[in-house]
Order: sequence, then C-alpha cells, then structure tokens
Amino acid sequence: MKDYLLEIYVEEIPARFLNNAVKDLKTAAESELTKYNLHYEDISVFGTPRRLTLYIKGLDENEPDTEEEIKGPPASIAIGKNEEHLVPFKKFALSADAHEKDLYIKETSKGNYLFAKKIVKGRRTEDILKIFSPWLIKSLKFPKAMHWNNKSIKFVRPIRSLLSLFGEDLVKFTYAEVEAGDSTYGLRINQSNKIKVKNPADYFKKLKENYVTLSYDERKNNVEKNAHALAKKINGAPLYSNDFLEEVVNLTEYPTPFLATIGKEEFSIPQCISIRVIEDHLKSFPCVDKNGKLLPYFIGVRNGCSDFIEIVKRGYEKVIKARMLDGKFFFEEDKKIPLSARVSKLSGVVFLKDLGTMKDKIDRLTILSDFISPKIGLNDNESKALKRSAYLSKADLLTNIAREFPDLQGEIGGIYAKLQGEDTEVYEAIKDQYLPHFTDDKLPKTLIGTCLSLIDKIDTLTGGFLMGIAVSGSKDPYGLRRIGNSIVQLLTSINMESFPLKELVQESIDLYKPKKEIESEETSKDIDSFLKERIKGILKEKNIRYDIINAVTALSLDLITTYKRRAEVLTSHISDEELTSIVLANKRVNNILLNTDISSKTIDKKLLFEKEEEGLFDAIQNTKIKVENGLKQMNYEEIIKLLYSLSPVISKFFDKVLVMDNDEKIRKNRLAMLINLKELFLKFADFSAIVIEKDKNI
Amino acid sequence: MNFQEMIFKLEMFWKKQGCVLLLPFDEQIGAGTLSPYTYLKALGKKPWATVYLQPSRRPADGRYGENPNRLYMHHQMQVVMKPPPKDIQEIYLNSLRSLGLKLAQHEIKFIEDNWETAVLGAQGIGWEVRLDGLEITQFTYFQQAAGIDLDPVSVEITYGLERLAMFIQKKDNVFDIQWNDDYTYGDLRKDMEREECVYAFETSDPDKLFSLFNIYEEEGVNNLKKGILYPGYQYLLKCSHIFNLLDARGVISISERVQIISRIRKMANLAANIVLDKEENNEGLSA
Repeated sequence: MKDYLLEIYVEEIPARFLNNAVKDLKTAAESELTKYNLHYEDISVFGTPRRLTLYIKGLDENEPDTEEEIKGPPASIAIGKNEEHLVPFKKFALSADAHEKDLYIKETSKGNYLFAKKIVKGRRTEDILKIFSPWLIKSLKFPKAMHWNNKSIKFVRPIRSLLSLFGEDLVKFTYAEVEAGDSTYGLRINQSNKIKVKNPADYFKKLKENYVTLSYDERKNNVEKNAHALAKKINGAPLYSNDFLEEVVNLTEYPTPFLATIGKEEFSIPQCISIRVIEDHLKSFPCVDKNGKLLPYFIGVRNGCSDFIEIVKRGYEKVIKARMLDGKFFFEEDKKIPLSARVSKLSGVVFLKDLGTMKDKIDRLTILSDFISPKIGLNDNESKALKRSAYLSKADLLTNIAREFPDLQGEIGGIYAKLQGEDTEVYEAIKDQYLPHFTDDKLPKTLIGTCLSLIDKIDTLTGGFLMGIAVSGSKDPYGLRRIGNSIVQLLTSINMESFPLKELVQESIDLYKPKKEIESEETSKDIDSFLKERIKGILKEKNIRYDIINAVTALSLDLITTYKRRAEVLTSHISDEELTSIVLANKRVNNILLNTDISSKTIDKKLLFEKEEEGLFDAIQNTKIKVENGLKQMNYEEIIKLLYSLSPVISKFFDKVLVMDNDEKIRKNRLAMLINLKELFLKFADFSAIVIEKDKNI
Repeated sequence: MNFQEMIFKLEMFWKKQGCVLLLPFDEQIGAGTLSPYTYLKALGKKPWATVYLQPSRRPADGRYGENPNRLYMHHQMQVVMKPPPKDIQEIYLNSLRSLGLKLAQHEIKFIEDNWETAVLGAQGIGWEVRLDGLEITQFTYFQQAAGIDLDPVSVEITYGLERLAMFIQKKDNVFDIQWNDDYTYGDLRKDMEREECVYAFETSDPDKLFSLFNIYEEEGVNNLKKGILYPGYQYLLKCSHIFNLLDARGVISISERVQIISRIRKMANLAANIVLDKEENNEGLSA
C-alpha cells in the first residue's frame, strides 16, 4: 500500500468555481476507481486558486490476480473414441497457454465443452494511474472553460504543471502538453518558487512551509476568526454573506486579514454605496457597529503572509479613497436630475426582447396598481402611494450609481426618492421593490412595497410566459423560477384571507395585448400551475408533508396567502384521532360521489326522513356559518375544531342512512347533502388527499 | 521612475521576449484591443507577438482634468502574443519587477474578469490583476473574434500606465505624475484633457456626429466589401470614436446603442473575413 498524490497546478481559478471543482474531483475519482479492482483507505481533495489536489491514502500497489475460465472446442471433436487428445484439443491448450493435463470438460447448455483455467495477473497500480489521472483531469467540467494551447483541450484556466507521485515514485503521463513530474510551487511571492517533492507526506509539509494552506476550511476559519478579532478593536463586526466569504477566501492561498481605514471626506455617501465599493472593488469586508451602522473601516484579506502588510494596507486605503470619491461624484451627479424627469427616458431601455421598453412596463405597472388597489381595500392615500411608487420604480436604472452597481437598483432609487421629497410610503416601496431576492430573504417592509414588488414580478412572469420562455430542468434563462418563488413568498406574507391573484394575472396578460398576439386562457392556466408548483416547492422546503401540501394546494390559487398557515395547522394536528376520522369520512364521501353524476346541491328538507339525516343537515348549516366566520378571521385552529365536531354526526349518518336509496328523489337529496358536506370541508382543505396510517398499511 | 522611463522599460522588456515594438496606431482608439495590431492579428494561424503603447480615448470618462483618477485619454501598454508562452504569467510578473517593484512587499491577485466587446464580436477569458487592491492590468486569453473561435488563441496584456505610475511614484493625483524630471503629466496633458471634455460634453454637435457616423460607415463598408482591408478598418475606428463621443453627450438611447453596436459589428465581421480569406488563399493555411 502506498499513497497517491495528484496536483493540477493552474493559473488562477475563479473563486466562484473552486469549491465545486474540488467536490467534483472527489466524486469523479471515487466513481472512476470503482472500475478497477483496487482498495484504498481514503480519498481527500483540496483546492486553492492555483491548484486542485487529490490524495488517495493507502492504495493497493497491484490489482489482485484473478482466475479466468476459457471455453474451448466441444468435447466431441476434441477427444477421440479412446480418450485420445485430437488436434483441436492440442491447439486449444496451446492457445490458452495451459498444459494439456489441466484442461477439463464441463457441461454447458449446448453440450460438453473443453475448458481451461487461466491466471490473469492483476495490473500494476502505477500503470492504472497513468490512465486514471489524465482521464480524471479531462472529466472535470466547469461552468466556463477555455482553450489556451490546444483546440481539443479545455479547462477552467491553463494547466501549467502536474505533480503525480505514488509513494516516492513518479507516475508519468502527459496532459495538455504538460508532463507530470515531482515538483510543485509555493505561494507566488518571489521568483523561482519551484519545489521538489519526495512523496505525498512531503508535499503537504513543503506547501505549508511555502505559504500555501491547502484546506478551504482552514483558510476560511482563519479569515473569520481574524476578521472578527480585528473588528473588535474598533468595537465593530465584519459584515459578510457566506457567498462573499467564500469568494474572498478562495482568492487566497494564504490569507492574512488586516484592518484599514476610510477617510472622513469620502465616507459621507449612502451606506449602501460604501458597502458595494468595499466589497466589489476591494473584495474586503465592511465593518458595522452593534446597531448595524457602517464604520469608517474595512477588513482586507491579503493573499500572503504578514510581512510588509503595512505597505499592502496603505495601497488598499488609497484605492478605497479613489473609488469612494468616484461613488460620491456619481451620487452628486445623479441627485441633479429628479427621478420623475428620468421616467420618460425609460423608453430607451429594453425590457424583454420584443416586449417593449421599461417605459411600457411602467405604464403597465401603474394600470396594475390602479386595478389591484380597490380589490385589496387600500385607502385613497395608499392607492396613490402605490401608483406613484410604481411610476418612479424603474427611473433609477438610468442613474450612474445603478449602472456602476446594478445590485443597488431599487435601493438607490429609494434613496433618491427620499431626497427628492417623496412620501415615506413611496420611497420605502421603491427601495424594497426587488425583495425578496431569494428564499428566506428580507421582505418589503410595507404593504405598498409588497404590492409593488408583486405587480412588478407578475408583469415580468407574464412577459416571460408570453415570450414562450421555457422553464424546464436546469433551463431558466430569465430566472422565472426565482421570480415565481418570490411571488409566492410575497403572497404568503400578506395577511389576507384571500388575494385576487387570478384576476391580477388575467389583467396583466391583457395589458400585453397591444404588443403580442395572445392565447390568453392558456397562458393564464400555465401561470396558475407554475405558481402552484412554486408554492409546493417552498412548502416542501419547510418540511411539510407532501400529502398536506396536496391537501391545501387543491384550494383556489386566490387562497395562496393562507396555504402555509393552513398547512401548519394541519401538520400540528396530523396525529389527532378526529383528523383521521374526518379524513376517512371525506374519502368515503368522495367514493360515493365518484360513481354518480349528481351536481345539484339543493337539499329538500321535506325529503329528510331519518333523524340522523336531519342532524347532519342542521350540523352542516350551523358549522358553515361558523367556519365562514373563522375564515374571515383566519383562525384555522378554530375551524379545524369546528370540523372535528361534525365527525360524530357524520358517523351516525353513515351508520343509519343508506345514501343510495331506491327512490331516486331521496337518493338525489342525500347525494346533494354529501356535496354540501364536501364543500364545507373544502373550505379548509381537501382532506381526502391526506394519507393516514391505515391507508399506508393496506 | 518617471513615466517615460516606464514606457521604455516595458517596451524593452517585451522586445526581449520577442515582441515586435510598434508605434501607436494613428487613429483615435477607445481601447488597445481595437487596434489592427491586436484585433486583426489575433485572427488566423500565423504566430504574432507585439508590444505597443496605445493612447486610449474614452470620452465618457473625462472629468475636465479635475478628477485625480479619471481621464478622457489614458495610455495603455498593449502586449499580444500568439500563441501564448507557457510561463506567460511569470513573464508578466517579471515585467513588473523590471519596473523596480519588489513583489514580496506587495500583494498580487488575479481576479476573474472575462472580457467581451460586442462591437468586435470578441471575447476572452482572464483576469484583472490587482496590485495592493489597485487594478493595474487586464490579462486575457482571447477565445473569439468576429464570433469565430480562435485557434491558436492569443494572450492580451493591457497595462493601465497612469495607475501603475501613480503607484510607483506614490502620487494621489494623476496630474502629479512625473513624465520626465522636468515635466509633470499635468504640465503636458491638462489643457488637452480640459478641452477634449468641453468638446465632448458641451460643444460637439450631435447631429453632425450622427451624419459623420453614417458617412464613415458607408465609406468603410464600401471599401471592406471590395476587400480593401486597412483603409476600410480605419473607418470602423472612426465610427467607434464617434459613437463614444455621442455616448458621452448622452444622446444615445439604449435601444439605439444596440443598433449602432450591431452596425459596427458588421464592419468588424467584414474585416475579419478579409483577413481569413487572405490567409487561406495566400498562405494555404485554413482558418
């Protein structure tokens, strides 16, 4: 047993690809190794911007020898009458490289045949690795790859060196015109950083000595720990998302965080711009105090050790100064033109190909805001605020700051709107119009903001569907899935028993009519089922059972604002006996109704003969009023209790009453009652969709 | 080290690497890549290596000579090598050392930056190189030009000379750079910066510029269609500069921009096809 080490040494791998590349390397190595009869103790993988490293610990040095059975000629032609070895026998022994005495006869489905045993020598691992390693490198795929010297070879960045050591032995192969050898390189700080490596253990030791920390986790922990410690000196904390931390860490082989200062003059710009400058232009961490207020400091991460770090820090400080002053210049320039004066210029900005401009979008959004306001009970001021914010919402696309930092769209618009004296409701809505960007992201602060974000996203979604943009599998070029998820999250956050979503979608489709021939009904259906898929996915992420998800999403899409609350109540009651019994009752009702074609819901009281019938009739009437009240107050806890109270009445009914009476009138009357009962339950959920243990056992 | 010394040092350095030293192409150019020494030479099979200084005019970046960092015209040192040497990154770092930089005292980061220019249908994969956080170079492996996959690829290294000079001379204002021992950058360039900005932002006549664009385009396309490469290509460069002037004036809507870009792109494609046809017919090499 020996250890194998493969290092692919490349020009800087983009930070965003690195961790996935390392993962892929491991998966590919493991799956490829199953093709050989080789055992190993463990595989580990590492990555820095300059290298991908595979380390196979305790790998067999040979495949074991195996025995193989070779089939020869039929016994009848190989062996003569007197058991003598005929010519075919001798020829077979020769070709199988076996002694004649070792051949044997075996019965097969086609009769007796002559066989020989052959020992197949296991291959040397070294020979296997010569094929395995280039295959492995070739198999790595990246979201963006390139050519550099050979049309047939693509990799994320040019491969400049390969190290391939099996124990102390060099395993030779050539890939991308690079011959594998026994040397690597340390951190790029000085010339001739080439290092000769004796064996895998020596590799790890030498890299450590030469300022390369191979492990991502080790680099990450170092950055986090030191960034927090540095920020503590100024009574602050570093501000970063996990994605940004990963990017910063993966720009280094040997990270050393340092604290740097921002001058007073250039610090006087909106906080969101400063943050973008620090992150985008310096790949550094902003620092905030305990109230989340930005401090005039940042934490840079040097790729290298702490020697001369003062010089590096001064460089960063100089860059931040120039960049912040640039930001300040843009901000001051932008302020000179009010947002309202920019709106007409949006006719020069394309929205979606062939679907007009951003000005057209603004026109649609203002109509949609008028359409939705009365339907959701906004008062006059609120309606005006929604319309105004819709009108101004995209004007910031034409500002310098939004051009320089596209992430700040919306947020910067809100800042300019505030400075230009717009109402609080208006600038807050503009600021929050793109929220939420992703699952569990912040939501708009106000209802107006939620409505603006919603109509904007529905307009984009409709546009996408009208353009026939297919969302399937990994294909989603316009991010419609993300938009759908945001729509669902917004609706879920609205505290209303229902929302006129279907009408809104229909109106949104109609507004595109001047631009596009439209199959209105079909598009509306497609959007419906698309949004249902999205909410199902989101509920699933919240670990809600699939049958409960089906039970609530069976309701009208307009009730989407309450799907989650209903599902949560169902989840908390899932083991109640009463729930089981109403689920069974619903299934029974469905089974009965399935085989009939009755659709009349009218119950004739005079045709109720049994007291259990009357009992159910009264119970339905009484409960219905109470349930409807409960729905208005969105008190789903109470509704489920109300529905529970029906359970004994329903049992009695089924015990005593035969629904399928021979008299057609009576039969129809009883079926009408069941339809009423079913509809009552459907006010909460489709209980028949819930799977109960008994069902599972059957 | 003064500015002119830096230019000599870099030119000498790359000359030693086998690059032919050329003079700036004598048209108004927005970026070193547009120069025929890069764009037209990146096409086809023939090896190529050059270094040249390219003054680059970006009207929209002009600030009347009053901003310490932004310029209407700056200087790029442009290196193109086809095919790229294996140790090209190391060679590049050595070029920085040749300017007296002790890299161990600083930080170098290569940060992903894939460069693309729609007017040329060109794209490349590479990085921006940051020295202590300051972006000093674009380092790109060309992958496509005129929408054609390149084989072999070229490496393009573009130094922003003013930034590098400010770093080396420890200046906070570009106009304080020592050009030689007697003159500062400001002495030599400030008046021109100011006037160029007055023209680009205030006194240029957009209607005339639009007409010029149309005239240049027509003349360029007519000649490129006849297979007259360099004169035709020079009209593409004129169109590109006019476009930049109109853009700085803020008179191009975004939809117009797309349209104008596609008109220049057509000229670039015509030029590229002439280069490839010539190579195929004259040298028996295929594209």
